[in-house]
Amino acid sequence: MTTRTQSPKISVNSVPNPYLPLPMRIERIHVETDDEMLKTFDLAFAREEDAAGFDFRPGQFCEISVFGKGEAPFGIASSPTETGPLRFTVNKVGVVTTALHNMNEGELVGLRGPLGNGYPLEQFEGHNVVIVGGGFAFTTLRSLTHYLLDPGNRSRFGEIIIIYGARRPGLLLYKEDLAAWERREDISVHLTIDREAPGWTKHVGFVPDVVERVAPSAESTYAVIVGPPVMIRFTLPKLRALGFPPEQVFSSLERRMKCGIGKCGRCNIGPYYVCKDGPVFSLAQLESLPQEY
Amino acid sequence: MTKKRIAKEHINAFLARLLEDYIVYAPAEEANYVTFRQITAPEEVVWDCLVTRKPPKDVVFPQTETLFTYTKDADVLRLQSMEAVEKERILWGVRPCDAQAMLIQDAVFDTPEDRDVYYTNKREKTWLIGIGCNQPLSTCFCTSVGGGPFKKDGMDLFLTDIGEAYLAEALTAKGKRLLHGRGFRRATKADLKASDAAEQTALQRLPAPMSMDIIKQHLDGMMDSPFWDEIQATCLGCGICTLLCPVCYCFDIVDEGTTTCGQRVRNWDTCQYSIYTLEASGHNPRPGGRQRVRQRLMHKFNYHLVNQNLVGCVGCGRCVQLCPVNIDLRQLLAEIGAAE
Repeated sequence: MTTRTQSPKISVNSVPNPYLPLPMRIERIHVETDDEMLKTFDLAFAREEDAAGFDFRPGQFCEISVFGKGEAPFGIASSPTETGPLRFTVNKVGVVTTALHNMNEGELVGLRGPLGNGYPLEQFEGHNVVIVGGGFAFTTLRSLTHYLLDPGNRSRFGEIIIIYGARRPGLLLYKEDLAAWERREDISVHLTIDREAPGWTKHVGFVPDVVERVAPSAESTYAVIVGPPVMIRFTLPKLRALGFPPEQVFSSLERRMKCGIGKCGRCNIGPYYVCKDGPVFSLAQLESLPQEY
Repeated sequence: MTKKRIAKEHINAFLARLLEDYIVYAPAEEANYVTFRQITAPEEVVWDCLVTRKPPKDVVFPQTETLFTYTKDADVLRLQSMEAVEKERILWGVRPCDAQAMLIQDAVFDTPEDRDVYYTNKREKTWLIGIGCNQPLSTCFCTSVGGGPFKKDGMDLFLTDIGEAYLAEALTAKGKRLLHGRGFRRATKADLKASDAAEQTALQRLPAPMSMDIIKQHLDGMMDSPFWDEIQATCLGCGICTLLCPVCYCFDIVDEGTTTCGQRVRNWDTCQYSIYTLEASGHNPRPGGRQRVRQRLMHKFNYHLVNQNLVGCVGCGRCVQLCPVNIDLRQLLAEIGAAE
């Protein structure tokens, strides 16, 4: 497993308190999908000193507080190689996310993090990386892609392939990023939607079938697959058929979380805590665990 | 370490002296049961209660606890953490099982990378004055899980009832400092002998040790066993086995208040409730009683050993006493141990 980076923590009496959130200002809200269920929030540190100490890696997450409603965990969608605010894309589904969707630019929220392990970037170095994403789970994959493509990092990785699907074009996240990546020579992007749609000229079909069609070589390649459970379930056999051993496949789990630091217990699966030992696990690790995710 | 005797008629005077300098929590009546609560006079102590209703974890990890208060206006967020602990506390009359449970919780909350200051601040100012169990209850099984009725792990001072007096043993520097003043005499050979005899008598009342290694190994292969269906067929999912377990430390965090002012609170929680893992999407990774009863035993007798090399059970028997449908953990462990 990778080591986690240390977060800046507010301290009282010089001992850091991991439960106190940092104040963050909502700098920009962007409606991400045409059903308006996903909004992207760019959060800026309200105090400059907090920004300096916030050091994260792709795949880590934060607990965002909407005061009076509570906290919920969200993967960081921005990359540490990007300057500026932290980016989170939020699906309106529960109490905290609905409250967040109802907030306005300029308002204050709280943030704890970065939490979790993140993607094993050191392990990926010198290898090809296949990124497989589905639906609104592309958040930390955006972070990862930006990281890999950063001029300071690109040469340390081999071929980069993205396979990303959504039910229809309007539900794809980060359309500007996708368009920019499609124009690049050093990454191959395969976008797919479930059914034909007017004006759509790219892949049509479910992600597992597109993985089979694109058929990335498993040779010296790591696959990162994040998406709805059903997509993962049907894609894993395709990756296996292409020769990917479970040690070369990584996924990021979602679980209900509260503390985010391996204490409150609810994200426990087998001997692991998703918040602390994950959320990124190799398929080899997942195969040893009860199916409690 | 130092051993002294204190005649029973002097013990309340000793406790009264402690009450001058410390907040003292002891087994005492509250409503219709005995629980660890703050006392103001030695006479409040209930001496003959081995297993309090609430375990003493409540003192360092309260059932409900405000983490911080918040006020928020357009420009400023103000947080006031409630982590500071001023006065030192004494847990008086802690039983060996409950002390062992606190050691297990220490390993969870007091980790170098993320110290839970709400727990550790209280814990660092809490001293344990334990007492041995001369007459273990029929539901006690500390010896099955590696404990004992006179085990002194985690104690600063330990009392053994030797009839007319207590044998008082200091186990830490702090315990040694507490162990002086009026009423304490040098322990005699007869006192030490009486203490040994009390321990031997108590041990005879307790069940034989179980192999926690074998239980762990068997559990490794029981993820898909029908065993869990049998338990969940009777289990009501009330959660009392976990909420009142001295080892269980799961908690929930909720906000109480408005968007502009209020407090963030944590409360004991239990893996036995379906809402514990229920996600906002409606997906629940542990949707049924089968997965939840399995989680309780797997966590205590398998995962805990992997992570901490400690069994997540101290044999206090609260879950056995309080289960409304008489699910007996000792029976379950015996069945797991005997499983093929």
